[in-house]
Amino acid sequence: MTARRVSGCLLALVLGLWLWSPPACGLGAPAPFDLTQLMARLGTVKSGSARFTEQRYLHMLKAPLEDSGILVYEAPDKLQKQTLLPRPENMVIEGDVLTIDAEGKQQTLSLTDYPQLGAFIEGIRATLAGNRTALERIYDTQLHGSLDAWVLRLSPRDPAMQAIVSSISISGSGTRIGQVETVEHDGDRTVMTIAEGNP
Amino acid sequence: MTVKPRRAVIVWLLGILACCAVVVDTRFSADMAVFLPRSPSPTQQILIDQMQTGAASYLILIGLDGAPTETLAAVSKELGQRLRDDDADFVAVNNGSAGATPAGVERDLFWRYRYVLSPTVTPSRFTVAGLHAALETDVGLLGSDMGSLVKQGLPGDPTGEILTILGQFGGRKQPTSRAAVWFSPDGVRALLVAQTRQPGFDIGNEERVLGAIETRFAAVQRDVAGASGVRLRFSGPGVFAVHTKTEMKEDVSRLSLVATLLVAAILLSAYRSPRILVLAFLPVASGALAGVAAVSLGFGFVHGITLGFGVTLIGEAVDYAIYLFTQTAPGSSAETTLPRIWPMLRLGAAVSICGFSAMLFSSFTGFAQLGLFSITGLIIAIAVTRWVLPELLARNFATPPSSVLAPILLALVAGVRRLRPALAIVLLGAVALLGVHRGSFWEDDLASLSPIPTADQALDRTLRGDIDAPDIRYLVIAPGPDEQQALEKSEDIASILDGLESQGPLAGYDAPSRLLPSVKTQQARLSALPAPDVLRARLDQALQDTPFVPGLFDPFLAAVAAAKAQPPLDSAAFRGTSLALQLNSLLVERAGIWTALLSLRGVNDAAAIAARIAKAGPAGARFVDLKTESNRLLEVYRREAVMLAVIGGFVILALLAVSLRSIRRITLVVAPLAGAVLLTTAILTAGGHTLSIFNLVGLLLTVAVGSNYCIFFERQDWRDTNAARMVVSLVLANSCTIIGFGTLSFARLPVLHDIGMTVAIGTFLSLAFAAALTSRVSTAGAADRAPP
Repeated sequence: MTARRVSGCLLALVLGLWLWSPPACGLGAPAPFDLTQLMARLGTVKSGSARFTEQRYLHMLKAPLEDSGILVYEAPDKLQKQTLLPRPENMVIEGDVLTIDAEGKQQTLSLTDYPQLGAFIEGIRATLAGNRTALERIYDTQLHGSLDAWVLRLSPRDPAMQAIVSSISISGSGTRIGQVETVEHDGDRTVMTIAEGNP
Repeated sequence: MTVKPRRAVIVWLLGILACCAVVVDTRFSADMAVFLPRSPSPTQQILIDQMQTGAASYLILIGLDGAPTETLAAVSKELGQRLRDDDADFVAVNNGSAGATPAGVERDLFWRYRYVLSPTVTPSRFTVAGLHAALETDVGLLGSDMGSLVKQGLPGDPTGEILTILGQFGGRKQPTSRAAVWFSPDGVRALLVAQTRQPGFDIGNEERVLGAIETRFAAVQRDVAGASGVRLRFSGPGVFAVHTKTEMKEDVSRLSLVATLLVAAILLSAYRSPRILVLAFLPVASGALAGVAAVSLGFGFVHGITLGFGVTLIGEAVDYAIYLFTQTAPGSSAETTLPRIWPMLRLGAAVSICGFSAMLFSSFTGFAQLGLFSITGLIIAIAVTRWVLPELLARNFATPPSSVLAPILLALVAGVRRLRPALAIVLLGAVALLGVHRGSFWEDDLASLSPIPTADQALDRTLRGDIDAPDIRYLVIAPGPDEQQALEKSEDIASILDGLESQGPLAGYDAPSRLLPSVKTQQARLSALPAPDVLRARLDQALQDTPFVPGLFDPFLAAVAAAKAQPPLDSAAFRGTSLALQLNSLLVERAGIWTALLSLRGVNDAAAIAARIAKAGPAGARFVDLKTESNRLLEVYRREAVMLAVIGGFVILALLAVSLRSIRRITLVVAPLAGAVLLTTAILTAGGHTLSIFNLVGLLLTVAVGSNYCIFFERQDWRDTNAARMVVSLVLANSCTIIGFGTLSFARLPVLHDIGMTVAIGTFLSLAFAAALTSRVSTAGAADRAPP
């Protein structure tokens, strides 16, 4: 269990959190659809919460595992993933610090101690801030579809990051993210489906 | 007298040369351990070893404050990283950040030996049912956010032994964390804990390591924005040793200089002759040189504190020359003065030597050194005064009478006599004060003996509190004739404690057998593992109805087979890891006896644990409360100090009795001393203060030194024209003694400070009481008889 493995795991989780964002209200008239526009839209979201369901497809297992819970976002930098089933677990990112509560134990980690993870976060922050240049410094991006049904595929540019996560696919409609699929280097996949509406 | 004059000077010169030869080769030490007594019992020796060379002696606590949280966190991370890069000096540097998690070495060791280290390796765990339960747990873990953390190890360890092992060592409460590094609970200080490669008592190395931390800190301050105001402070046994050494050096050189200058100023103003000044210091210098040489020969090294104590010799031994010079009036010569004052000089020196010789028998090596140093110094000083000085003085040497000083002093002495009733009231007051003293007269805290400056002790308490590392207070110890038996006893005790833990008298414990199980236990655990084909069959059965893919756990089957073939884990496997330190502090070998120490955490009910260990523990196992034990230790030291003081007092009394042969005369010498000791004690304990062992030794020295004045006063023929000169010489001598010990009371080390203060007060009072009790001069007569 090297530091790299730890950051790989955290990375997947954190990405899931950051890429999900609650819906914004009062959308204006449709405009020509591109990455810049999508990011600007996502950046308007300030806070919210939603239910999620995760399917983990692991090479060790014949069948996927499922868990579910609630995601909470508070501007500027607090994100929370609260797993309720099959067993309670709570993960919070606030600023630079990541805290995991599970089975009565609490673990605190600093994102800056995991440079690759820090870079991913930097990319996500760039996305939320609508900074396309910063995002593309970290990922190769591919955007398909329309504003009503889009898929954003991110591939890390840094080989060290590729060794942890191969790709992330985010699909959504408008500012609502419907699904985040993270593919790890060993082929294991996690598909997070975010339910419409508040919990 | 029988010694031929010239020969005396030659012998003296040769002696000085010989002493110089010894001193040149002398090893000087600053190791404060010599001021902790040699311990009376093996248990207590272990405790003292723990204090001095236990695991804690490798730790340096570092606090950073004086800036906002973010800045401190940034400095902590950067400093931590740079110190970690310094492999030569540090085994580990922990500040709560992830970069500090134990290096692969420890985890690899745990992983490799997981089947002998884990207490959950039992036959039932490797049955079909046991394996199935473990696999169910694994599925749960994989489905959680921790899933990726356990994923890698799972195929080789489906029963999760590595998690059990890590849980045993990671169960301790972590310090408060802010911005992902350790902080004090109030957020004022960022905290780091560095573990050095060398023990802290290696002062030279520790000094270098502390210097390296400071250099790196200065570099970090330059590199991190806004960090210029950050303050670095550290603590720990090694830091104490370095600070104490520095303070000792400063104190000794500064105080020696001050005392020398002050005494020189007094002598110059009294004699107005640089030549006499040099001559007056001759006995002192010879005595100090001989003292250092004697200690060097007797102990193999000279402690810095012994040199510091040399300051007192300046005040004490210069007296002899003062008596000789001052009492040599014009028209007489030193050679005629000497026979007159020699009996008093000799008796005075003999009494002082008796007092100091009580210290020779102290179990504090440091005290014994002070004793030998002072005795040698005094003998040489008085011999030089007696046989060498007269040779070096001019034939017609005489000190000019002090026309200003003498009448004033005589008047004072006569005045003191009239103050008798007042002194009696003061003494009664002192008795009353001692009578109403609340609580114990004695300092109860072993820390009072500690040479560590109080500011350092306070900082250490603060940092320890911050890091949430409570002092180890409760231990269970078990001795055995060899390593294996000590480990087996540790396992027996651990199983008793495990039983208690669930009932609540304690929160947890560290045992050596957790890190290094006995060979018996290792074999038992290995025999709990089924043979390869049996295990494969059971695993296949257990895997039914689980989502795991076939063949996933082949590494597990291989690991169990490898574990059974592997030689047992031994202490050599820990070498070079941070675990070696922990093991060495929990399993101690001394003189062929191996002792397992189990340190307990969160003890709620010490009595229940003690009772359980006494009833069910293995042979020789003992529950130890370090606080009680250290109090008991202090009690032993104190009893010794009291005994030495009493014996010293009796020897002095016997000496006086033999010399004076008259109850009245003995009373006249002893009564002022008793009064001085009583009043000094009252002064020292006024306001609820307590006496340290060092104060007690100081009282003994008060008697040893103060008796000189009483003897001179008692012997003096007050009709003699020399009375005035005698009074002047005594006051001069007393001033020098007070200067010597008084300067010492400004030392920061408790041993020097306490002794210095006690003796300075005590000897002054001795002179005052002696004057009040024995002087016969009247003011009128004094003016007439005083030298013109």
